[in-house]
This record gives sequence, structure tokens and C-alpha cells, in this order.
Amino acid sequence: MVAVAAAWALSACALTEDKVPVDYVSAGGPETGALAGAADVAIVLTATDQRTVFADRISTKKNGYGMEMARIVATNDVVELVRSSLEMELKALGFRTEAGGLPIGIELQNFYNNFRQGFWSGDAVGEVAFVLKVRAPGGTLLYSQLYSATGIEANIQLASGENAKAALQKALTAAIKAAIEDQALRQALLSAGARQPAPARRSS
Amino acid sequence: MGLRAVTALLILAVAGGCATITSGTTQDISVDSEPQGAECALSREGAQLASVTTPGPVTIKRHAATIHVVCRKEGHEPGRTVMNSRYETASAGNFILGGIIGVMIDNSSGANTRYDTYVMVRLEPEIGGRPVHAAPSPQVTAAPPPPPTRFDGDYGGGVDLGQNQLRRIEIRVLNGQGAGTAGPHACQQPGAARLAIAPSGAITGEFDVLTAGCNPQKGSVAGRVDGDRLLLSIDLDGNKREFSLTRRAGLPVSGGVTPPPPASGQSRSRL
Repeated sequence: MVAVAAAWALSACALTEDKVPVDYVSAGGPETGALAGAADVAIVLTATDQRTVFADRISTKKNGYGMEMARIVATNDVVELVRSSLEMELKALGFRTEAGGLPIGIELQNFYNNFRQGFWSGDAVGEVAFVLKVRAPGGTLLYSQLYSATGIEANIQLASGENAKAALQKALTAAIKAAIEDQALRQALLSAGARQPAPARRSS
Repeated sequence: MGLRAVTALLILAVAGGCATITSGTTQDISVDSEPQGAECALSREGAQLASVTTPGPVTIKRHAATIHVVCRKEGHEPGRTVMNSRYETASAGNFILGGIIGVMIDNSSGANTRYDTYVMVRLEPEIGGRPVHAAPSPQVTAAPPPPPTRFDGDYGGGVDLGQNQLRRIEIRVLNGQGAGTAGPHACQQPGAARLAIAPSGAITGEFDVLTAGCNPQKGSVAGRVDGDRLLLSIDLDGNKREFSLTRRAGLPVSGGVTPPPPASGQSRSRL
């Protein structure tokens, strides 16, 4: 009787959808202050969801046999989270966000945590991947790059939403950091900004 | 240790790794692109797995890590997609036979994971760069693609042709047009599956389901949409079979995802 009750109670955990808020934690870094010339460049960031597998979740619970159980979903829009995180970091570099600015498109390719089993414990392995495209106002592609990063929450005992969230937040931080530290991206933005029409440039 | 205990351990060891035995440690993936003829490279954890000219199959080792697909074609921007691994249901056999030993074997061999058997990568024409078409011509303007429909998504299922002949169907519907694969995994290259879903939900199409000897066997398909399922009937030379495909995930529509409902209490499951 006790065993049946325990089995029922435990299985319900794995079968219950988990909902967690996913946040962006800035990596910070030694570099502070704005880039020279960035204040003259106006940008507009848009993001689209290009995930083709597991677009309806950020992770999946697993039982002791590794079988996929209930979904783990984010309570917030992760596509918007990636966009706003990148926007925040670019603004910290001095770029202005303004209608009519240089269009930067973000295509979210992956935002998913996979629980991997070990003998005594497991790991939550989150991956965030997005393509960033900088275009000229006419649509010509000026710069395109894939940024992909993994975040690992090691030695976990539970395939829970909290562990998935922790791994994904690490991955998001690393992916955004890779983008904002990309010197080629910075150069592309600064060069393109210098060619922007007058209304999009700051009048000083 | 008693004889029974030794026997039990031996059975577990022999039966262990259910998916490793039944479905193997490699799998085929059909790589396609729109437009076709693109050079696609598949990589995992920074290492290149395979390259193929679309449409074409690749055989890869199963693994839990994601696969990144990048396709390139002259006159087009690179197209990319990411394939996450899923749980291989054959590994669930360890629940009955194999136990923890089987789980560990499947886990280490990668046999407890699988990728989608079909991947489609779309490449956008370059704007302002090299011309998409070699010869400038006023006739090159293509008809605009049909708009996304509520039926768009990834569907999967199987059709029983009788005499234990099961054919697995994986199909992606985009803008009301479906394309995918049909056929036994044993065949080197699966058959093609194509269908169209009208706004009313009526379905027509043609599947190449492949025979037991991997020979093409075309069948016309008709049916209708019922919620998240495609209720279909295939006609193979007068031999009609009913089957259904179930939607696994809806394809994202440009503009983002629908926010999930507000948070509730946390729940946990054991690893």
C-alpha cells in the first residue's frame, strides 16, 4: 500500500509540467564604458523564433531510466529575453536604440536544456544559440554570425525546472558575452553606422 | 552468491542496452534544403560530423548533444538549424529487461537518444549581393510563398501495411505544404512523403513508403486534420490502409512564441 502510494506520488512529480522564469545575468567584464563612436550609431533589434525542435519548451523532465516526462516551460518569452538582453548589452557599449536605426535581426536557433544522466548524479546541459544579422537599410546583409554557448549545472540530483533554468541562464550569459565581445560585430556596427542617413545619427 | 542471483545478473548483463541492440548506435538523417543543391555541414560539439549536398542522407552516431546544420548555396545567405536529441523509445525496454545496466549501456553508447530523421534548412536569397539568378530577367520573380497555416508543424507516426510491415512517417508541414520521409529504417534512404493541407483541413498527397526490399512503392494519400492529428488513408495499388500522424511540435511563426501561462508551484522528478 505504501509502495503504491509512494510510486503514485513520485510519478506525479515527473508528470507535472514545470514553469520557471528565465532571466539574463550579465557577465560584466573588465571592459566598462562606451565604445568610441558607438553613440553615433542607432540600432533596432528584432528577434524571431527559428527553433525547430522543442520550440514549445525549454527542457524536459527525465525519470531514472532517462525517459522524457513532463515539459519544463519558461514563464517568460525566451525570444524576447534574448533580444532584450542583447539590446541591454549593446546599449551599455554606447549604441542607441532608435526607430529607423540599423536593423539587427536575431534568429533564435536553440534555447533548450538537456538532462544527462550519470551513475550517481547528472548534469543539466543548457544550450543557447542564435544567429545575429546586421543589415543595411536596403536589406543587404552586412554581417552574420552564429553565437552558441552551453551552460552546465553539474552534479545535480533532480531533473527539475530550477536546474534547467540555472544551466540555461549560464548558457545565455555566455552566448550574449560572445556576441558583445565579437570585435568583427562591433566593427560592422560602427562602420555601418557611419554610413547611416542623417536622421538616424545623433546631431551633436 | 546463489545460482539464481548469478543467473539474474547474467540475464541483466546480456539484455542490457536494449536500444543499443534494437536500434543501434547510429542513425540516418535526410538533409534537405530549400532551394535544393546546397552544401550542408553537420557538426556537434565543434566537431564536423558529415557534409552532404541536398537532398541527401547522412549517417551519424547517436549522442545527446545538439547537432548544428549549416547550408550554403551560391547567391543565398547561409541557412542554419539546430537539431536537439530526443529520447529513443526503444531504450524504454530497459524498464522490463536490462535494468540499470541497460540504461548505463544505452547512455554511454548514445543509443538512448535519437535525432529527427529529416531536417529541412531554408536559405534566403542574398539581397544586394551577388544575384540570385545568373541572367537578369523580368521573368525571374517567383510567386510569393503561401502564408503560414495553423496546421504547420512536425508530425510523426506509422502506417501498418500488414504482415508486420510497419513504415515510419516523419513529416514537416510548412505553409500548408508537407514534406518528409516514409520507410523502414533499414533502408539506406527513406522514401519521400509529400502532402498538402487545404485551409478546410482536407489533405492530399503522395507517399513513397518503400517495400521490404527498399523498392519504391508509391501510394496516394487523402484525409483530413483532426486537432493535432492528421487522419489519413493511403492507397497502395488498391490496398487501402488507415493511419494517423500526430503533431509533435508546432512550427514557430515569425514574431516569437506565445508566452506560457503564469507560474505555478515547482515540481521535481528524479534523474
